[in-house]
Amino acid sequence: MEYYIQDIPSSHFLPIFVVSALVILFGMAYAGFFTVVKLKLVKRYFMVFAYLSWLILVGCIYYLGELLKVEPYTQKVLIGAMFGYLVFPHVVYFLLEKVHNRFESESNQI
Amino acid sequence: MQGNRLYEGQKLALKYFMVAIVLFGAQLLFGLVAAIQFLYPNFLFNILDFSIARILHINALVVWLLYAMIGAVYWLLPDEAGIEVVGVKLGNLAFYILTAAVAVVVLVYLFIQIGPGKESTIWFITEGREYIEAPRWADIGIVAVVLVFLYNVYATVMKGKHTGILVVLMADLIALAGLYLAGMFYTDNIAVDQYWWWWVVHLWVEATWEVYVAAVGGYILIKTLNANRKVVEMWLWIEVAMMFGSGILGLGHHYFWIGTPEYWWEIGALFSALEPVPLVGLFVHVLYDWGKERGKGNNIKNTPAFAWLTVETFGNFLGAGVWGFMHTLPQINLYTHGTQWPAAHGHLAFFGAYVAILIGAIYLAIQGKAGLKEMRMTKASWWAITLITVGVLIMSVSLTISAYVQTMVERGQYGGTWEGYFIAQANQWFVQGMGWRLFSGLAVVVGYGFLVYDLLTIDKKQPAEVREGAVAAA
Repeated sequence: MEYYIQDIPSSHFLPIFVVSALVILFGMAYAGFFTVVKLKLVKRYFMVFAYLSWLILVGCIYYLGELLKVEPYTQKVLIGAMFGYLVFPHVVYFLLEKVHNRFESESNQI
Repeated sequence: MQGNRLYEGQKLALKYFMVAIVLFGAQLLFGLVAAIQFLYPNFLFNILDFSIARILHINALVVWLLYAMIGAVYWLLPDEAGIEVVGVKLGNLAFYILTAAVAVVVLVYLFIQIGPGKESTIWFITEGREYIEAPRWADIGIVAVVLVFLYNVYATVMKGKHTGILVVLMADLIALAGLYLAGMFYTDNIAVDQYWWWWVVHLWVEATWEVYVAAVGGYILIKTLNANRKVVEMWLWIEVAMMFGSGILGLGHHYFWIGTPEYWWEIGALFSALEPVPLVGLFVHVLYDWGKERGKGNNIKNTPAFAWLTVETFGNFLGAGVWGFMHTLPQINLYTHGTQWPAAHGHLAFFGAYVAILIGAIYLAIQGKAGLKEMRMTKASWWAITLITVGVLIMSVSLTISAYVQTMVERGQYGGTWEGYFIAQANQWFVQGMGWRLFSGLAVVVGYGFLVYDLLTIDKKQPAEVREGAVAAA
């Protein structure tokens, strides 16, 4: 089915700009809190803020989809992508940790 | 560097940096003129028209960033490869030819501001393509100079050490240079012309330049934080994959309204949404390295360079990520395209992603030139980074306010008509936004003054213990 962009009422412009900014900011907040907790730079309970940020991010993405009048299928893809993003910092951190351990133990042996 | 002695390639880098800083000043000067003309349209009318001030503002930016990029490569190339740059004499010759060509192009822009658009105009005056307006003779000259540069890089790496940073740069520079060719041929059809033109602009700024920054950023992390080279290089490959993965098809967000098929809406939307992901990865990486190195008692070896690298990380995220995503998706871009939104995004993104890191690279070269083991911030460094960063931030916010007025009034209320355009331009909120943009532009110019002063004097203003370290090393 071909998708045509729907008209958006001008009263939705401001919420769209704000929610779009929040998507990126809460996306970063999730990754940031996750990393600093894992690095033990702050106490472990700060991890709650990481997952809270992710939940707000999911809410923002859903609301953004509504404001932009995306198709139901795209809305589902967006929410699916959020689960992908839930895993993303874990993968990045896992890779960094493995790389550090591998190369630092090698340099210690030298 | 060999002890306190510089490689010839590094001396060439300093020349590139010097011209880059002069062109940075020209960019700010013409930007200031254009900002005044937004508020007082008669200012310098028929002497330096807005169209020319804008061309010079934007082209000076692109050219000074390229100068600084070439300079940074010539700086790190012998250091990484462990040998002198191969073909450095040719490199010097290319530098003087390029600089003379840039001077001639600028003079032509200034002396021939209006006239008929003929075949000869494309060859000798301007090609008329935004950001890359250089006439064709200069285009061909640029290609020749870049070929010399590529030869020098490839020949040096082949002969010397093949570090990960250099290998990434080799692959990236060939793409960066090759893409320039897509902006050189002329077609009668504006949609086809724009289609190829975006290959240069987008695939430079959102793909090859991003990868370049990741490589140079890795080098700065090693030099300033003593970060583990293998970790930096390993991570560099992951970032390269992510940046090319999202950046190449992110091209789609420029194809929404130029006559290309509608499937670009979906492609552009999907890959634009993915483009901030590598920035998050980069952020986690820098945070991780800083957190790991923090406990080891390593002093930061060059605090001004590291401070600018930090500005780069956040500026890139805010400018490219937040400001980009706010107006990029096709549903909303229908209303924001052609307003001040891209200007707000462009100012913060270019500053955050490229200006900041290249200033950091220049500070690294100043440290190397003076032979200092460590370099600390001075008051002038502090004023420069504060005024420039805060100035650009206020500028972006001001432009956003003006852009919002345009979106609401010109597009929402009046449906993108000429009437709506002029009503929005006269709206008091739009005008006030432009006023604040001018004010913040002045702050950036003052910051630039501090920056130039600092770059010229910082090595002499280092504390005694740092200077004594340098003497002992020599």
